[in-house]
Amino acid sequence: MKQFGYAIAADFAAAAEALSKAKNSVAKAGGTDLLDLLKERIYEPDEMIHLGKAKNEVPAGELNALATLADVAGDARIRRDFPALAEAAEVAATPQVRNWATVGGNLCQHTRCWYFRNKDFTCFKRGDDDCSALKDGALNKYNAVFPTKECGCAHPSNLSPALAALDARLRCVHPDGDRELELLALYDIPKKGVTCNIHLRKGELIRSVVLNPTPLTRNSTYIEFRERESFDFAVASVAAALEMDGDTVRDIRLVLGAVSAGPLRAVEAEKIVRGKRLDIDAVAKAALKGATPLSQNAYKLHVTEALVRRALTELHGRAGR
Amino acid sequence: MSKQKVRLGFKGNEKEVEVNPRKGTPAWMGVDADPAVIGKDHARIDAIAKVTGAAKYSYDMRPAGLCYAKLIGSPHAHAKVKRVDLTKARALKGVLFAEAQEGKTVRFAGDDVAGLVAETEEILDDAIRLVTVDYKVLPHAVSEAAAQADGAPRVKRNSENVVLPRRGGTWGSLDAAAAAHKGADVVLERVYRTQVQTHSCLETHGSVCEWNDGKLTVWASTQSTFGVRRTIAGALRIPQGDVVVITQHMGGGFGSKFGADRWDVFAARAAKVIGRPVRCMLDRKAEHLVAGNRPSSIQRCKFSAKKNGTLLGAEVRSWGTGGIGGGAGVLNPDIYNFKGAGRECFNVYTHAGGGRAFRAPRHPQGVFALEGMIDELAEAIKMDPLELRRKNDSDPVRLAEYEIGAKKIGWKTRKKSGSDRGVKKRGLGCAASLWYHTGGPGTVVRCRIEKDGSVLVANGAQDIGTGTRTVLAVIAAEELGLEVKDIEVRLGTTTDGFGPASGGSKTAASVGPAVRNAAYSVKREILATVARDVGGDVDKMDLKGGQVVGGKKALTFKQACSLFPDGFETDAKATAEDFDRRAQFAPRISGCQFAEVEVDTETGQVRVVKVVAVQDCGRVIDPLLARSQLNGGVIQGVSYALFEDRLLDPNTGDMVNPNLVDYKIVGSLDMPEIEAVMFPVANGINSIGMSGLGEPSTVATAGAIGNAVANAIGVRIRSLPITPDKVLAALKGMS
Repeated sequence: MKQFGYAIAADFAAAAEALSKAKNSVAKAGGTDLLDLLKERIYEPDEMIHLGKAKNEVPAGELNALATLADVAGDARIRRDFPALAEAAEVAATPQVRNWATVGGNLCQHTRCWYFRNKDFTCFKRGDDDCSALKDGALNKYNAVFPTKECGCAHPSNLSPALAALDARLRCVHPDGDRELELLALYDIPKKGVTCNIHLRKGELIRSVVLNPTPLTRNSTYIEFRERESFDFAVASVAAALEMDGDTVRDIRLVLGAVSAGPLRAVEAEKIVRGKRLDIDAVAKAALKGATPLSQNAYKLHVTEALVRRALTELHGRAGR
Repeated sequence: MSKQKVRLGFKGNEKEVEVNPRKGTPAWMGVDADPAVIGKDHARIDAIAKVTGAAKYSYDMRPAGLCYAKLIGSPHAHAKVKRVDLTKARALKGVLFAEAQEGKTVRFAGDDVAGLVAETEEILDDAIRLVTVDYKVLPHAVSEAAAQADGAPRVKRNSENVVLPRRGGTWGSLDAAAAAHKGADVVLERVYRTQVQTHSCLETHGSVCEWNDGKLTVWASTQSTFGVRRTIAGALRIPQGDVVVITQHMGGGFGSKFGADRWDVFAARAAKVIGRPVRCMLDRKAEHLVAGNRPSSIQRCKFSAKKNGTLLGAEVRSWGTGGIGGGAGVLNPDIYNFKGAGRECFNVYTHAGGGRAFRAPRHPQGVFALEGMIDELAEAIKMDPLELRRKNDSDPVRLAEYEIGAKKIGWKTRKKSGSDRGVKKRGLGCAASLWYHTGGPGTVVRCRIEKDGSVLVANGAQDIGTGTRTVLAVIAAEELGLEVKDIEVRLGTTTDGFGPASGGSKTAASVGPAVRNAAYSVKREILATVARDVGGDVDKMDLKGGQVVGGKKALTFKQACSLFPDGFETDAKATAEDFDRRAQFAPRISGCQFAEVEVDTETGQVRVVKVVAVQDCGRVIDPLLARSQLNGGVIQGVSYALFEDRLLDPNTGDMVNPNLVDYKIVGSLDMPEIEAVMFPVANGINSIGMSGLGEPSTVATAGAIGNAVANAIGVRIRSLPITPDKVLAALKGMS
């Protein structure tokens, strides 16, 4: 990696201030994604601001962005009120990574697309004109099944579909004023030369996640499918929440992961059953409507559909208990 | 020479043969031998050093003033290096040496175009980024299909892209195989494919080189210390006597580390120029790209059988690529008694890193197809696949192993293929393997005792990681009537006696008999001295349980050693006479494996639930280590069957997954329960009756898993690795 300056931020406001002023700086929390990108020189910052020791007191009931995935997975309150979140955290990566990786970092991580992570290849997100994953003959079995015309990247975060299904909001810090964002609003479509497609201003940091427990969030789940059980990224993931009223669906959330550049809420599929009887097959079919898989990843549609059925079957069972 | 009758084989199948132990060497061990130390479980003698980090690998060597070197690889699969600008790199403080290869034609991504040496790894990394290379990019072909297409660029200047190697390209007779189909009730034509697998050694390739007074010391990560000495001396044009190669501990070789590589020679040259030691160890990306691989295969098989289970013809035509290297043939071993069998294996050159020997070269890929075909024939004639195997196999060892394996996996519970209900379907499969008796002569072992009873066994060969050190200690302890902890074993320095490369599963079976000869000779000398000085009949005396037994007076081993004020030593060789090439009990090593899998038919995921591996390697010296080897072979086989795949982007020819995240290797959560069962055979190959185990342990695994998957879902995946997308495609095609 290129040599860079290193500063330990005292608190988030100071970190945001420093990051917004610096010319070529980068924030580091757990570093589990960032260090790889530095070694591959995808990032060549002049300055790194370390957040790991920053003071970040958040109101009770909010989830600190610096909490590690292990913290989240082991939190009894989260498991009770937001099981999808606990389940998403506990299957991520490896125990070692979960002990370092943070909530904020997980949401802001970069795509696993191998064409992005290797500078030998051209990549739209790294500023090239074309996307290597979209070319004829490209090896794209892990890429998006809802790609854009310009980029085939898929977002690998476990927590983002879970938090989207839980109606989470993000509290962000910036020198020009703090704000709250809906989780799904964090994600942007891929743009040329923008390595991480998130809607944060220069220097803006996620400080906490705001979550409100409801009957819907309490009956939520996250399941993912990966080729290898030990340390792998999801080929497909589904986060769902379901609130039943007798045989009628009072409310539902269905969010797909690893299929597009950000978590994808299946709004139309939810509509099919909201206020009606639960028809799991119909939801599963509708969830992937409009997908345009690439040359090698149509199988992801089948896998995702199966996960939707499994998630809803599980939640329906839990609701009946 | 004195003739000796010895009973060989295993319980229930023995035969008496005559052997000729060389004068001054011990009697041969038969089926009724009852050793005290050999055949008992012994923990690795270097286990604690390894788990505490005290064991020093070549990667760990840090001679004073060490500098770091790297070769810069081309991102293009085929290009001409027009210009390399080293000006900026050379100007960087701490850069000590730089050279470029202008004019070179690179023929695979990763092929080196320049080399740098710097004071620290960080400076080296910065310097690499300051090198600019001007390439003329040329058309490439990285797949077997692309290399065979009309107008495909030539990979080798002096060769077509597709060749039938003179050596190993053909076997048996394809004509006889074709003729043998006559009268068949079933003739099946199928295509099986296997991928390119990289060795992925945890300790990457490379070495630390240091010059002192014109002599070179190389701490190499190698499976052949003497091979490195020979090749690096050759490359540098210096006498082998001026080179010492040291390999104390090895982080994996699997067939890819037999000699000095370009980067080793570069490190040695640079170290001489700058007058400081230089380390050049590959990074993970280069390890995947340039350090060898198991070639791919596309095997067109035409097999036939009669309804009664008589196997008739077996034709195999294969095409595979080992990149710019050869060795892409497959070996469908002649396990079965076909009426006619033949094979021809074409090598397809592509613009990719060259193949190298890889744990049982040609066998896992050959067995995957062969054993798939056997199962497909069994299915077609409605016969139990294990029964079909038994019916056509005359190897008594494997037939006995089948009994054990079938019982342990619960073969009787095997269902009709595709009949398991539910989303997740279970299946059972089995596959056979064979290997060869590969130990040989030439090894020289020193056995030295001191006055205080210390025992040293020394040889210059390396312990590739299998536990050779421990195995040799066991053999010496047996002969000297001691315990394993009483023996010090020194391996891996070429100033000690000559020893073999760890390839072909031959290290233990070559060095072991020499160790026994050396220890035997030391024993004879001790006993003769005791007889002379203390009294007794030397022919009635022996060393047992730390004592001199059968003599006039009870003496401990230590007391006996005290008769030698300066200690003494013997250098013993294993000669050609110490190996019986006739292999009087069984000409080959036999094994079989059984797998149970669970297939998720909605996601396509295959989980290997259990593998039972039953394996012969002659006399088992240390069953604990043997089972560990067997476990390792199965794990690597599971990884080959389900995960590993070197993927080259067809558009650039560059590897998309040159790391250990995207190049997937089986992890702990994906490992099956493994039941490793050693099947000891007194084989009469050498005085101990020991053969090798490293390679045969991985031959059958992928074949057994492939068959278990087909049994589970009722549709066969004829392509490795068996990934979810392939399983779903196969299931969809069926419905």
